Amino acid sequence: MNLAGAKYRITYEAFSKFSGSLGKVDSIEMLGEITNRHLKYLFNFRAFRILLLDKDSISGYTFSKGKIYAHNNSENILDYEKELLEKHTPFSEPVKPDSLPVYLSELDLQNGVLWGWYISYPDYRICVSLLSDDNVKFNHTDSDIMHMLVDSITSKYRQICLSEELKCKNETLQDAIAQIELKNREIEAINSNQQDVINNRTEELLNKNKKLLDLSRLNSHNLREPLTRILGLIEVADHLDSKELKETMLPEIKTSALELDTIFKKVVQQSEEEAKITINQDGGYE
Amino acid sequence: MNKPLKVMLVDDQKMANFINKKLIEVTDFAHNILAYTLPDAALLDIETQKPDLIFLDLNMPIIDGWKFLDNLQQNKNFTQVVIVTSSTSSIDKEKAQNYTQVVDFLIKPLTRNTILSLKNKLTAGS
Repeated sequence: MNLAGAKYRITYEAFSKFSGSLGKVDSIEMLGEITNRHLKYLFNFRAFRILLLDKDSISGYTFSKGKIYAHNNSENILDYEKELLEKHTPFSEPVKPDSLPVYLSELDLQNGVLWGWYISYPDYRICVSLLSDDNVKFNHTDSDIMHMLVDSITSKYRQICLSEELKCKNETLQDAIAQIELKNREIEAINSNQQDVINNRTEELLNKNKKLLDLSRLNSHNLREPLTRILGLIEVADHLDSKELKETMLPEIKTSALELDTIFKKVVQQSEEEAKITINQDGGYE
Repeated sequence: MNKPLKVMLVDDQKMANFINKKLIEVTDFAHNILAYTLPDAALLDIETQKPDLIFLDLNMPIIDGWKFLDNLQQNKNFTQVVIVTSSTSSIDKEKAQNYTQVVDFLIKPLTRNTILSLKNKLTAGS
């Protein structure tokens, strides 16, 4: 087996291990950690940097000397990355020391070379860059494995973003459902309260009507009863002798008339009281 | 009228009975008149007296006219009843139609003419 073949086999095994580890990743932080752990077995670099941009967010990592630097806002975009995003042209050129961020300036590069690629996906734009030097050389032939790495990171990143978005939407949905349930309970409470008010009011009215009816029947009888005695006596007066007229009829007419007067007063009083109660109750509902 | 009627008057007002008795006498409606101011006494006597007709007041204490009628029905006594009341309430008149033995519903004060009309009505009916 030649050297290139052996290298290919080792790299392939390293990539398999990386893919296996990637399966367990469920957060942006963990994605960075797992990548950091496996990166050095895939190709040579002094620093490796990947920036993922979608229409409203930026996320990225720089890996160097075993450390991870995370990026999540537009200020983290470097000048050469802006150019890459504009022109999409891959490049490799000698490092200009002032073009690098502070955390990479201590690398002490021997004839450092900066490599840059622009890779486009349907929903992401990716800037990949890499630092190499005479001691740690990046080979053109490694760019294949580098692309595979970017593919894996991007698809994992997309998966994490989608699942977080889904989680977020689920939570919103749960909140909405809880709100709806709450409102439903409120509405039910209002409805049942309304029904109670209606029932109470109906019962009140029924009671009032019954009272009025009773009053009317009682009045009809009580008022007329003594009056019918007076009228009855007048009806039979022709058939009474003078003794009966004087000793029975006149005193009875008097008694009945007085009785009528008493009842009449009582009826007026009762009606007034009933009217007062009605007025007060209606007033209370205003 | 084939035979003289026996009439039972039931009214808690003694004077009402007095007036109605007088009217019955002067209109020659009946010859045998029994007046009761206590409905329970009337109910006790009814089986022995066997009146042809009862003049029944509605508004009486303890046993009112309706209870009196219910009592007659319970005892399967179907003596004809004329309700004589001072109430002009239509509710009472409607309620009276539930009792088949009630043959007339008269409103006080009774007059000679009411008694004569009743007499004609009963003669035509018999």
